[in-house]
Amino acid sequence: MTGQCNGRDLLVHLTNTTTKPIYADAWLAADPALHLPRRLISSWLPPGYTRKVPVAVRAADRTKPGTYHLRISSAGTSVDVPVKVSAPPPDAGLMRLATRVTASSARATGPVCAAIDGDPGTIWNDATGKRWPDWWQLDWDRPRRISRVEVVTTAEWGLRDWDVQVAAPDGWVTVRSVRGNTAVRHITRFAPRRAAAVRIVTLAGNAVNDQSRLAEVVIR
Amino acid sequence: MLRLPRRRLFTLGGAALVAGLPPASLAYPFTLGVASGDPLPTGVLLWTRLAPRPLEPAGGLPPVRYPVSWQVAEDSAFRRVVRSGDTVARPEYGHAVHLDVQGLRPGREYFYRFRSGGHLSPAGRTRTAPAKSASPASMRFAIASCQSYADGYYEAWRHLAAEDLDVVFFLGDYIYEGAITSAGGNRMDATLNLPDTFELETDTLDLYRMRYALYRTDPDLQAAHAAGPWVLTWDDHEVQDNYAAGVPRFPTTPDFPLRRADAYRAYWENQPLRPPRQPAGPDMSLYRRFRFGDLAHAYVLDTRQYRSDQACGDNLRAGCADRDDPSRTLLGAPQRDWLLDKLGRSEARWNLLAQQVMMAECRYGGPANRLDMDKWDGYAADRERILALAARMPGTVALSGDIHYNYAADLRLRPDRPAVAVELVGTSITSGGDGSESTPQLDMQLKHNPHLRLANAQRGYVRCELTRDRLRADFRVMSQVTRRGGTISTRASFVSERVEPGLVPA
Repeated sequence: MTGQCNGRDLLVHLTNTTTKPIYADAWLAADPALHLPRRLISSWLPPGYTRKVPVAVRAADRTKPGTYHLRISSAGTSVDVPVKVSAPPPDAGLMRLATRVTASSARATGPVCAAIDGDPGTIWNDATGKRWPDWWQLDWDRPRRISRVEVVTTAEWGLRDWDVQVAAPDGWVTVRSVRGNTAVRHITRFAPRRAAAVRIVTLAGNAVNDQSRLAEVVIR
Repeated sequence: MLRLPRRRLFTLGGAALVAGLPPASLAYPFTLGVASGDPLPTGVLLWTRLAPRPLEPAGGLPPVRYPVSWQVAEDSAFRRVVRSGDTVARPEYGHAVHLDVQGLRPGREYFYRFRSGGHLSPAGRTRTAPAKSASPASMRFAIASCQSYADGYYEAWRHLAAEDLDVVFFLGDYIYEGAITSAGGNRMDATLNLPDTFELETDTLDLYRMRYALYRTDPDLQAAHAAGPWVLTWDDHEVQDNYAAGVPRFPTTPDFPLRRADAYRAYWENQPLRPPRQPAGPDMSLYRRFRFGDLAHAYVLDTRQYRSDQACGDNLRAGCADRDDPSRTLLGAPQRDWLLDKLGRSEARWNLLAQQVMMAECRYGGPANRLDMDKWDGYAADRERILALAARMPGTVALSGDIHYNYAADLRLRPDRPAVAVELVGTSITSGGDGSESTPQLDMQLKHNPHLRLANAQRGYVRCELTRDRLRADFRVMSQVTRRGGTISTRASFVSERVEPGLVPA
């Protein structure tokens, strides 16, 4: 499905079919419409061993639906992987319709999309401990009518203080400020308005030496 | 875009250094600089790696070999070339070049450079170790560690490059395995525009290679490598935070032995280490000894590859009896026995233990009075054996890194006994960001550990001078690292007498 956070992982299997350890290379090439974060996988492989490496495959918003191709080459052989791209259905939630998700920083183990993947077990986690504020932002292709922002943080070391902001013609407008939160789930309601982007500006967490942690964000 | 060293063209008249080999079409390949290391009395290891596009997989090179020629001279203008030759950069080693140059004279300064595809590398300066039989009056070295690229700029390296040093001991955490944003994390330099490949955690050989390439594009780090020989060891982040031998930090890490093999391979490829150090799968022998005449022997240790898993679940623990278990080891029995044997028979005035983690007991104070299970405090039996030997060996100095703090410590077998050795714990080059003069935690540690003479949280390195009877250590700290323009100053200086160990303010 198109959209930065709607892609899927391709699990690349690298197998050493020889009787000696090897360093194997697999090169990945894709249609320009597909985005891959890497084009090479190299690994030491003991004899007979299979290593499975996930590679995130994404298609940008407005990519024409259809079947695209990805080719994986290694040791003189190659495999063609068809990738079916579809647009989010019109009735998809505002999270699925996001065209761009960004943040002030992110850890490798806490990417920005983890905050809208529907899995509270994965989190967006900023990369600058003790440095505030941080921000996490979601953009749509056009203004959407919104009135509710639900933030799910973590039970331990969760978010304490944040501002909910929406994009306005002359900059960001703070629609609600949350202070002293200790709950895992917090819902902010405000008068309905149209905006093409929502930003959560994080100001403090519930621990010393802390970081921003967003498990899920649901906007309606 | 990334700022790269100015393109250098080979301009030496008539010196066809790669005669007989066809010229390969190659964009300027020396974007990662040059380095030398592991100095011996008659030889030194020279390193470079070809990478015309360093932020791309395989440095932007196809999987073919490239001829590389090299020169070693007695002068920086290369008028007195004393050694030269040809070699090959191979794709299976990430196009790295390791040259074990022999036949040099002891205790001498040399200059070196490489040429490939008509391009000339920057020149590096290096220095051989004094003759085994020499009795040097003094030696100057520095210790440094922990250079998270995303935590700040490497201007400390620029300052270190200006010091007149015989050798640099790098004590680990040369790279970090986590995500780096397109603006380089705390560097917040939008012009860097790093590919999103760097947002992946390093776990395969290609990603570790790219991470070393990114780090080595930094001009300040290149300057420090080009200024003199380094002797390196690793800590945890060259593989994964706080790993212990075959045990990953996170139980869910897949394929950890393969990850370690890939990380070790990339480490060897990207450092000035001799070919015999090359890993075999997930194993790589890194502990070794260097001699600087009869003035000092340096024992370079590896406290990651062979250690028992951290006691009591790692981290800060109070009342963890398991840490005293005599069967637990930080060094592994073969390395520990090697060290005790070599150290016990040393005829050097000074014996330097160049290693990773803090050796001195360090109580974290407060009601819990915790100890750090990742340090020597979590491996009390190994520490006791080494300090018991140090009590008979005047001039034992532990050199440590890892924790991003400066400490000066006396090493004692028991709190109420005199010091048997001293320890210099060097802070980070950048890890942890700008840092501070002190922290409440450090103040508490000073209060609860009277053998600590200094605790400081700024960035920088420790500059040392050994003479026949005295060690001097200058803790050099940076005013800032998250923005350019940081200045350096000496935060504190200590001396210790060889025959009466104990750090006192200089």
